[in-house]
Parts: sequence; C-alpha cells; structure tokens
Amino acid sequence: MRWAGNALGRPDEHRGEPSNGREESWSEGLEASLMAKIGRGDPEAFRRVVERYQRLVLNLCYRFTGDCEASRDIAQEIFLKVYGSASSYRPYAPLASWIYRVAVNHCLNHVRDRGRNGLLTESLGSGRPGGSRDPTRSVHSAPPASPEEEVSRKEAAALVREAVLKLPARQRMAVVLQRYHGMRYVEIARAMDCSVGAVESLLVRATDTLRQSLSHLLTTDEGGSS
Amino acid sequence: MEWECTRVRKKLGALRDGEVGPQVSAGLEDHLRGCERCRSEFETMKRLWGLLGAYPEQEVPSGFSQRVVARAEALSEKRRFAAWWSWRWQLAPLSWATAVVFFGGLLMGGILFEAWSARMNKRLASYFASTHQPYEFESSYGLTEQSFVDGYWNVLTVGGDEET
Repeated sequence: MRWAGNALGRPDEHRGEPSNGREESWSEGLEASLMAKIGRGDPEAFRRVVERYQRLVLNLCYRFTGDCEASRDIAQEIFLKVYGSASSYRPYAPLASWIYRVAVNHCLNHVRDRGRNGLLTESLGSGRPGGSRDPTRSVHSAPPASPEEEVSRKEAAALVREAVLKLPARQRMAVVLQRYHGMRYVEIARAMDCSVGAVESLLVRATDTLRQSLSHLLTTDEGGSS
Repeated sequence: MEWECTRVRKKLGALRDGEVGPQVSAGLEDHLRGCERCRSEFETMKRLWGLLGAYPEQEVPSGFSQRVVARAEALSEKRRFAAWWSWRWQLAPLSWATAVVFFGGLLMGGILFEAWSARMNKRLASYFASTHQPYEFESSYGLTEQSFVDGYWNVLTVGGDEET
C-alpha cells in the first residue's frame, strides 16, 4: 500500500495544488534553466523555485524538528544553500531530488550541531506544536467533531508528534520522508546518502519504537474500530 | 514456522510501503493469509502508519518566499563585494612586483652610477698624475678660474668644448 504519491519531481502533487496557488507549466528543462539563471544571480528565477518548493522544505523541517519557528529558519537556510550552490546543480535528476538532498543534509547537520536529538523540549508535550496552530487541523479536516472528539484528536496529535520527535534523527528523517513525503526507499536512500537496505532497517526500527510509544493509542484505536 | 514469521515481520514494513517485488509480495500475502499473528501484526503496522497522519503539516507563512529572496539578494551583494575584494587581492602580487622592479631599478641605477662615477674619478686622477702639468692642463682647458667640478666635466667631455 502506498500512502502518498511519489514526491520527487512533483513536490505538491500529494497535496493537491501547487504551492504558489496557481498553475504553471513545470518541467525538468525549466528547472535546469531556472537553476542556471539562479547560478547567475537571477532573483526572479530563485523566487519561482522557492515558491515551488517552500511547502515541501518547510514541512520537512517542521516534522523533523517539531518547531514552527526553527523550521522556518532552517528552511530559509536550506534555500540560501540552494541559491549559493545553484551553479553546481547538474540536471541529471529532478530538482526536487537535489533539494531534498540539500534539505536532509542540512537538517541532520542541524541536529548534530545541537548536540542532542534535535528535540525541542520547549514545544514537546505542550500539546501545541510550535505553539502556534491547531495540530489536528490538516489531518482530520473532514466533518466538525464533538468537543470530546476534538480533545482526543488533539491529544492523539500531541502524542504522535512527541513519539516521532523522540526517534533518533536518522530514523525520524526516514519516517518523515516515507510517511509524509511519500518517497520511495530508493529516493530516501539517495537523499540520506545510504543504501536501500539501510533505509529499510531504519524504518523497521522506527516502526518498533513508534509502536511502543503509541501502544496506548493503538489499543484505543483498535478498541474503537472493532 | 517461527523463523519464517520472524523473517516475514521484517518485511512487513516494506510490504506496507509497497517496496517489495511481486514475487515477495505474493509470498508474504500468502503467509499472512495463513498466519493470524503476522496478519494482526501487519494490521497494527498499518494502523500505526495511519496514526502518524495526526502529525500536522505547517502552512507556509505569508511572505516567506519574499523574505528568502531578499536574504539571498543580500547574500549575493556580500558575495559580489567579496569577489571584488578578492579580485583586488589577486592584483596585489602584480603591484608588489611592479614596486620591486621600480625600486630595484632605482637601486641598480644608483649602484651603476656610483661605479661609473668612481671609474671616471680614477681616470681623472690618473690623467692628472700622468701629465705633471696641472697648470698647463688647466689653462689648456680653460680651467684656471673654474672649480674642480667644472674641470671634471670638461675632462669627461674632452674634445667637446674645445671651441670654448
């Protein structure tokens, strides 16, 4: 079962709309041309690339760090890296693949530089990821729920978020790329600079850890669904 | 059977993610049909992956791209200045070389002039010594009333001022 479409080359396909809110033809040729222009310092070309990939990069950072503000800063730094190294881009692979690689490296380095797991204690357990928005909003967007259901959804969201953020950095990155970005193992391996077997192993270990962390929710869910 | 279940469970994540080939997938599904525990495990894993959807995504803040582009342009300005500065520094060796050649030339010129002037002094002295007629020499060159320096000049340019 696939949980989301292949994100590479089509960064917003699994989200249903282009990130800049308007349709525009986008091809690998256009990507190569834009990157060449960015390499020459064209801000308009850079703006188009940022608007195309901002949602992807921002959410990768957000789900990896669990902090809205930090993820915005990290996403900005990632785009600046893209801008700075645009001249080294070679269009052998889709631009998304290259941006993912830059983003993954930057996020993992960020965690390493923090000296811990990249876990943001100030926002963990608060029930308000990043402290700025309703964690359940984009997930259970369908029908309006009763107050009890809403509370339990928020609790579930906080628990899930906490469980994901407690994973070791590389396991967390593999989970984020697979579960939230719908990437195939081979694409994750390319982005994380490891083998497909290593990705599979990371996901198996992450699944075990998450299962333990969320056993309560799983039991409740099972009880509720049966 | 137990070993097979262990092996199967390691592949359940890949099966869930659609990452196994058709043959392996068929084998795993065949096993799941006959093994209640592995089937339950697989269902739990799918539910777990479904639960992860509760981790929300973040909306892109308004003006995010403009801020990034503005920062990139500022960075670009800095880089242009750095490149200009580095270009200036690349010229530094050339400037140094020019200065060295110039001052070296001056020094060498001075040394050569000194050597030449010393040789001329020697020639002048030997000329005076060989004639033993300083008065005649001086009068023949019209040096009676002149300074030694003028005489020196006349010796150097001997023959040139005879009409004087």
